[in-house]
Amino acid sequence: MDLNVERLTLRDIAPCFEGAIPSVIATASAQGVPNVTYLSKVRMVDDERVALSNQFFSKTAKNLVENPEADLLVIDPRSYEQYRLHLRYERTDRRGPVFDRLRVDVDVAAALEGMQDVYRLRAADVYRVTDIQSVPSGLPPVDRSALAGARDGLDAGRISELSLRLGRCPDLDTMVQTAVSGLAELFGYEHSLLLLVDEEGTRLYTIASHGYDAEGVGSEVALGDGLIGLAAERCTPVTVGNVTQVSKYSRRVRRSYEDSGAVSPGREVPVPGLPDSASRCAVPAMVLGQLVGVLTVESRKTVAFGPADEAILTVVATILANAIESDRAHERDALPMAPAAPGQARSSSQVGEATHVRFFAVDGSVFLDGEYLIKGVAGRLLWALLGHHEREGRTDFTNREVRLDPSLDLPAFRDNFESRLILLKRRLDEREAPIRIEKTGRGRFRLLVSGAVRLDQVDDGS
Amino acid sequence: MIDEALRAFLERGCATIVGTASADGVPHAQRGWGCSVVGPTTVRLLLDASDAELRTHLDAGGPIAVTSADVRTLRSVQLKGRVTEVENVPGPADLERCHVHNEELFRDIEETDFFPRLLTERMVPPGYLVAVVEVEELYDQTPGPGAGAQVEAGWT
Repeated sequence: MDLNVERLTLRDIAPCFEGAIPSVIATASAQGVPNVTYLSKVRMVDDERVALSNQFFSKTAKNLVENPEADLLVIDPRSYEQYRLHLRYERTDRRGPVFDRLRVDVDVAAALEGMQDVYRLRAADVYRVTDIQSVPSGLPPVDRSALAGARDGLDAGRISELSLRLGRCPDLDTMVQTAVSGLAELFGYEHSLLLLVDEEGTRLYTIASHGYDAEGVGSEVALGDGLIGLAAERCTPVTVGNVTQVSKYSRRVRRSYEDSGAVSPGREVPVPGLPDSASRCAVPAMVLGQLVGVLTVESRKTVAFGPADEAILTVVATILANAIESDRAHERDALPMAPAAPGQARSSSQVGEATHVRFFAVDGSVFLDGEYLIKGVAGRLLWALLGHHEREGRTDFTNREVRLDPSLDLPAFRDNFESRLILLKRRLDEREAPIRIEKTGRGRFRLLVSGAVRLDQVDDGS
Repeated sequence: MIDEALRAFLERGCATIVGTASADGVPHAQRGWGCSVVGPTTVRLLLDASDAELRTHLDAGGPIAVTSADVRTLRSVQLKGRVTEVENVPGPADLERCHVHNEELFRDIEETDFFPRLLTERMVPPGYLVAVVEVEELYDQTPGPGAGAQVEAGWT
């Protein structure tokens, strides 16, 4: 590569290719008429090439057929230093690793606004970089060595420490909390979520979080929606260095599609997490080739995460996935246990104001004193437990007996009982509810009810 | 060709980029630092005076493309035309336009993309020149399936 005297390389300016700041590309037709436009993403292919996404068969693409020369301006988001890359178009990929990498970038933008059906990568244009120059600024240069950025290496010692901590956890509840706390303490990931795949395999629900004002346990996202849903659907790590920029671009593109009638207005994809997040990284938690959940971290810093973060999180997610699956296998294979001792039937004359528990059979949602608590399997589980408590005075239960309750409607192919129990326990704790769940041993738990409860079932969802 | 709506759009703090080309068709990208509409088809652009390659292309009176994008909405327009004049020393009105443009641009970036002025001001070039451009064509460059469509019915 013919570089200028500064001998800049693509690796020197790698943060420019994280998509945090739009790049600028100029091309020219065969007649020498220039075209200049912004690019949402430029990716580094290797030490000598970059790839540009082509979604709309633009004038840029047409010019390149006639004239392979292009001029690119990129900005380092850490310092706002600007670089000029002279490019020569080499080829267009419509499949393969370069195409796949850019496709994830485009799919993230599409997933943020529910445009997966219409907004997709058409092609990846690959260019050889023939020159890199630093663009002069009116201000003094920045000390490059002082620039902060994404983590640049794996710390085996810390990974080992977190693995050991996870290995010592006696149950799943402790383990998921140890994981998100350990990610903060050992690696500085101050905002993290662990989501698990639901029984139908179509949605993810949050089972543990760290660093949020509201814990958000139970919040859900559909597979394919947003960065988390995309990581789950593709079973691949997905990192975005400037969520704000990508979201703004997605909204603009969506509006253009709405104007053209290609999509209907109104779709918004709610994503659990920080409202002012700048960087997000989501990795799949997999075992035996199956998706179990997604581990995601986010930061208010731009371009906070890179390949090393994806690697660390993948290790932790895989450990968690194995533990969760092992726990499920243990539950499935466990010998029948003696049922827990029955208690005294509840007296209806308990003193104090009763907690009103309202259950909607249509979706399993439960409201405590008019406030939403939880829905789905976890909601039906709570309703079943409270029914036993009301009728028989039961407080102690085994996982095995409860999970066989047909009213829970647990599918045989993906039995999430333990995860749903943890979810329910955490939601009750988070709400400081007068009903709590306490683990009493492996496969056993206790329902703690303070004061009277009034059960009220709504069958038609009205 | 440039109606009042487009004039207002171009003269605010849009993120502006320009493309030029050498006589043998090698393209060149650069940023713009303010635009004044001085006639139905004429604009004055503040550009980087330290960019020798750009200066060569401008002096040759070659074709030029100018894309201006609203940082908040990403609505974008591309002007295509020809450079008719280059002024080495911007006048007071040009520098005032440049100042207002930069203030609005950096404020919009800070408020929507959260990059502080301390950083974004590093894009500002060491000095400015003025290029007078005769606009011949207008294109809607807003991201989406309609990008590249010619603007014929006015900028609404």
